[in-house]
Amino acid sequence: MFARIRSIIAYLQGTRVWLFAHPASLGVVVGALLCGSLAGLPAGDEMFTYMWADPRFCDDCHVHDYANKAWARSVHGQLTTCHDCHRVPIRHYPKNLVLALFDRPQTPEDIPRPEVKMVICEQCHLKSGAEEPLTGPMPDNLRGLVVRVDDSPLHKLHLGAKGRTPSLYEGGKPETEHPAPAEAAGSPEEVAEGKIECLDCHGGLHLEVHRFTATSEACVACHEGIRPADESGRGLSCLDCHARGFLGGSTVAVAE
Amino acid sequence: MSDPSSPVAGIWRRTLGLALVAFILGFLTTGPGIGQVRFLWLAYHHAGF
Repeated sequence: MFARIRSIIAYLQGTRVWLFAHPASLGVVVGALLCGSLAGLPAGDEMFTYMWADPRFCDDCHVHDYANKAWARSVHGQLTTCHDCHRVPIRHYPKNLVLALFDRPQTPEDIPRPEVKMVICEQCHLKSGAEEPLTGPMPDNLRGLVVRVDDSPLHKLHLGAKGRTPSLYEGGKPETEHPAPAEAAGSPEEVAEGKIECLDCHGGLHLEVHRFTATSEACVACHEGIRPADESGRGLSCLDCHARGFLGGSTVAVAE
Repeated sequence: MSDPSSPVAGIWRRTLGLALVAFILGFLTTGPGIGQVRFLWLAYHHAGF
């Protein structure tokens, strides 16, 4: 093997000498190198766009076409990339390339549930995150029109709560039964006790991700105790009365 | 008709062969090469190592 390597190196050195001895040939080779480089530029651009902005790149390994479709249907699908919300460190890619080659996920259950930090939602939906960069196609003037919930009474109440479990007065369950919304809805993963996060209500259930619209299911998961049980209240959804508390006070920044 | 085994023909054969290799190398360097580097740089800037 070493002899083969040495012979290759000797050939390359001989080629270098030969090229310098034949300037016309050297010119042709350098020209071909430049032409190849120029021809590669659009291919490189397409490759980058596919890897960064196309959800099919992620789906190649993560096998979550249901998530791709839900995202594409949502308002986020038109304006963001996967990377805007899923901050994937670069060590993820070589590791997952090996997994994709030798232990490819077959079903969504084979994929660990991604963790989306609240700071990602804050980028657009709270004033504090306005300076954070986005990489999707959302133009700045449109970003300025995104609803911010800093002054929304019920958003403030939930995001500022010390814990995830409401009191009995607020419709929470006794201390022996304290499910988190995702767990109550059947997610197999346990949700750690901590502060309430955006995805507790806006992320959707297991296998129903990217359903950003909050529904009463998330409310009931924690506030079941104050769900109306009488005949006139039974048909109501929580948001029929409480939507105003979530949307009221929400602001839209005036685009400059 | 030039003799295909002549030295000039040999020089051009070698030149064209090297030009083809150079073209492919240039394409791979700026195409997938820069595409990958740009992606990894942005991913690092976005989310760290």
